[in-house]
Amino acid sequence: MEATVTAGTAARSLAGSDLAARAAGGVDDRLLVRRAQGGDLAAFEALYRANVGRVHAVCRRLAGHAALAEELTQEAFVRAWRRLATFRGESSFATWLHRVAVNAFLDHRRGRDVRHESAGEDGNAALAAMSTAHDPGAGIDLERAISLLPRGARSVFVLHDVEGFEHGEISAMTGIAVGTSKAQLHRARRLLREVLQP
Amino acid sequence: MRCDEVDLLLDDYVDGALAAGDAREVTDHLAACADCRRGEAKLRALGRRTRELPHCIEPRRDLWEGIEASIRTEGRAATASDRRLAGSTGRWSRLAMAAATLVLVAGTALFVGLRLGRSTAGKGTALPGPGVEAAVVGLDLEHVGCEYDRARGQLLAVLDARRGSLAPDTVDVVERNMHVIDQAVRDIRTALSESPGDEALGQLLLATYRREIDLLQQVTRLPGRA
Repeated sequence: MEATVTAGTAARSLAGSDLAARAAGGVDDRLLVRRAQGGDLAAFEALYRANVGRVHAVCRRLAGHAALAEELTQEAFVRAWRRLATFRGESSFATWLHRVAVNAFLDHRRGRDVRHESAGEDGNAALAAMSTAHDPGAGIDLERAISLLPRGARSVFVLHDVEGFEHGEISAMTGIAVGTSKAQLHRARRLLREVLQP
Repeated sequence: MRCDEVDLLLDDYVDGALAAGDAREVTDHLAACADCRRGEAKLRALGRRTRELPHCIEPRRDLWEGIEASIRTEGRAATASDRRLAGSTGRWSRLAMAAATLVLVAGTALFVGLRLGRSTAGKGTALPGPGVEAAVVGLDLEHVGCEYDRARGQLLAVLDARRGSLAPDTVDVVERNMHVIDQAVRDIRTALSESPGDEALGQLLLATYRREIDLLQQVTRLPGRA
């Protein structure tokens, strides 16, 4: 175990060039996954380089805050390393990793630590302030508006409308009822419609 | 249909998730109501803009350093623990690691058992039971290994589906220990491939399979949080 882990620094130059380039270039990542499952940290770094943008995107939108998104992205990759042995290839590695990231966020939300979160249930007020402050003809940035949604509405909006999960899946992942998921989505869309120009 | 009723159905309408009868009523209402048509147009525009969001957002800084540091820390902790437990190399160090894993699994089972509020004794697995380890000779370990992989995969799928209703610290404890257990299973399997007739290793492998499946079964039976 130690030999594979401590080999990381020596292998970084390789991971930063050859392996990362192959992964980023869309080369089949199954070989990298197999190597990482065997403890090859350089292969895992290549997988990180190829997937970090996608993982960070979902964390950024779910978290609503850059610092928390980075924290969750790191947590997702550490968890992925820890759970690599459970990846059996039934889905693509990217899909599996994406699910790990969503679970990292959901576990965080179920926990106590909400210090970074910019918009709690007062998100209504933040959106309203933005709505009245911006140029009525210009519209506002959708990413910014999503980040200002109330937490519950933002989570469901991102999971359903951005990430494509069904309400039943969201219910199973988050523990909320399907009806609550639909209500939160309705709330999020209504708030966004109010501040976005068609 | 009134405007407030249409407003409630508009999400499902634009998602194509509305029953045919309701969809016809909404269509008829929209044809006659300019306000609701504007609402529908805004909703469809929001959908278009959402679909156009980028799939990737790069973080402001390279996060690999922190990830690598966390992995190294966990790796060093595990290795130091293994060294203390084993104290030597070869077959006996692997036996010690496997034995330590059983203790870890038992500890985790106790943790989960406390959450269950009842005995941690496992039930219902198709794998050989605790008494079978003593008679490992003659068992087809490869076949048992396949059964273990299959049962483990099914239970992990159940765990994934239920994780939303479980306490985060429970999920975290289980996941951390699953990583260590999986490593021990790989080590024992490797040792067995080098010494196929080693009965002690076979016993440890069966015991590890059994304990892990029992643990996963208990986790999947945990009551959901209120």
